[in-house]
Amino acid sequence: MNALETFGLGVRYGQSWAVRDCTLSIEEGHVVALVGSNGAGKTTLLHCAVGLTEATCGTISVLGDLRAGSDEALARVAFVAQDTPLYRHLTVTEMVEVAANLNRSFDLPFATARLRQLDIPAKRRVGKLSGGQQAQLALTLALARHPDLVILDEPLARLDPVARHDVMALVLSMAAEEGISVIFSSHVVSELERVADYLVLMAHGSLQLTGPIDEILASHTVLAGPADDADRVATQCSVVHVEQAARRVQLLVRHDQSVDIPPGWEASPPSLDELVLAYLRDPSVVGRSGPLALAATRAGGTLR
Amino acid sequence: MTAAQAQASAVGNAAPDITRRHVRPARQWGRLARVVWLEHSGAFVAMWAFSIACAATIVVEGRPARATLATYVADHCVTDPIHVPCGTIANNLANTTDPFSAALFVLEILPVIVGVFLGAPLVARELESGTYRFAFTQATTRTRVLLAKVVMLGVLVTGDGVVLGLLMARWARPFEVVGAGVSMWNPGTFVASWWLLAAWSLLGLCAGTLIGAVVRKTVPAMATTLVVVGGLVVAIVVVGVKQLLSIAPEVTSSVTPRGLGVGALGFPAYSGEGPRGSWLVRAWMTAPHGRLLGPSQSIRMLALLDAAKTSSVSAPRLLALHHVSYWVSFQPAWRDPIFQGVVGLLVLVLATIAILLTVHRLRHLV
Repeated sequence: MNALETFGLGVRYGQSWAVRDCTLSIEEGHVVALVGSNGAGKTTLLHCAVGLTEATCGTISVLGDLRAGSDEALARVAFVAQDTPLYRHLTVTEMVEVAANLNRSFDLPFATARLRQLDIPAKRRVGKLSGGQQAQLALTLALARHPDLVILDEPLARLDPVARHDVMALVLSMAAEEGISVIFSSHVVSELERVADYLVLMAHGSLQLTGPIDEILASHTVLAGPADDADRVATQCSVVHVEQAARRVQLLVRHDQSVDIPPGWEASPPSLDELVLAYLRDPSVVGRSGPLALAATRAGGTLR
Repeated sequence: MTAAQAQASAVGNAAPDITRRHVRPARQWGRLARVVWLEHSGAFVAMWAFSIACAATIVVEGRPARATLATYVADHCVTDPIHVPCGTIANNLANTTDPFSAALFVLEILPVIVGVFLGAPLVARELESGTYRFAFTQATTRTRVLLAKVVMLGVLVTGDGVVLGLLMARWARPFEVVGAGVSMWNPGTFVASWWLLAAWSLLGLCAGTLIGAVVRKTVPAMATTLVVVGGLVVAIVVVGVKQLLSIAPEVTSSVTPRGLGVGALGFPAYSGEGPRGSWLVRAWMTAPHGRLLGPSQSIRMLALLDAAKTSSVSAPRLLALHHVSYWVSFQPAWRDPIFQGVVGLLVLVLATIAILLTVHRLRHLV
């Protein structure tokens, strides 16, 4: 069963497309990192998945064939929106009560215990909590529903490093123990590899890269060699990104099978950070062959 | 071990016991009522405070009027208003109409107050603050959440309308008895009856909610509601009721034109001016064979009638001498509840349409 599936999904706001031609299929049980620069369409895609945004074209379903945003889907999907909007005039206890009353399945002991563990004052108004505490509260309310799919839009943005660690630990432990799927968007690239096992990269509303992280890493290699020889090597493989320093150049290349290492060149596996940053820096290189990518990169003046 | 399990063990587990799943029995509307109370308790309390203040004003200000009425009745002024002390008592009653007018004005704008302060923010605040992203992604559908809010607040405002309308009717009664410019037919009193006040308040709530869902910003939605619902109330009070009450009137020629003119009348029939308790729609004069008298002829005839007040010739006799008939079209008193019912139902239909449009709007909200 797929946790999330889209086919030809497009969302248009006025004249501009926030998401276009998005075809995606993510099996359940994954922890999915949705990455992209600002305005890439991440939030729009997630909003589509919970029915907050209607698709202009195409289809989107969750947890098999449940229509995104349908009653059946919302009963099994928990969503934490960006900036964790909660009722600021309510106390924490009242906010928990609201969430509990809006859901038939709600683990009140779990929510209470976790909030106590986090030292979030039960009597304090939500608006008086720090940004991190509000994020923790929103996450607790989502997880207390014991959903089959958790969708988190920038859950880590307002958290300090320790809180980030604890939040992702909690999410992952739930994923492990209850077999839930998790999709989260994030700008914190450094923590992706530790947290996610599936990557979806978006740029300008389109999918740039998608798949299990292991497979993605295995299909990319960093080649380092003399700059003079870069054009020749680039003709033989699909170059994603180029970095040049003095007379040496580093090519991040994508390949379906094992790559032939040119004489005088060194090959090394990329880290996920490197790979993601490479794609984020130049979203347009996807699908181009080596020389074009190299020329485009040089013309753009991004060589280092 | 799955990937998630491996990662969980790698980062450690700081979570409390998360294996229990609590599925509670349905009773969904009861739980939704609790949610609505938590979210909008401030609005409920404010509305109650406002209503209690209104009710207290009506009761406190109404007591002297009722006491004066009791004197008026005890002195047989109802049956014999020319009796000497009755003029003074009637004047005393009429002097207490200021607080009545103020209270009546508040009731007339009650739908506007409800629409602006309860209806408009209901959805607009949720959309503006972004909390809709929380509320609309829970297991309870947004339609149910909306309906729960509207039903609970609707019960509150219609209850207020009923209570305040009944109080107002009870307080208005003394003025109506002595003909001190108050009648159930007056447009202001007409829309402030318990049934119409309840219906209007509900329409104010639903219209404000719809406007909030469309405008999506709280303050602009409140301003728009003020203009729309306020404009509607003004239009109904100033024009609508009179237009409505001119539909299919009864006609009589047995009315003495004492104090009445010709042309459009549009006022209630006070003691001796027309069929008891009726709403006078229009008056005209006809010559033999039904020929309608022109304006100048009518005015001349009215002047003769006026001059004859001090003579021994009665008005009917004078009319007969000139072969003129005086006609009045009117709505009899028994039709008042029918008009109230029809208008109330129309208002409820509008309220229902407004809430259905709001549901549609929220379902397709992006």
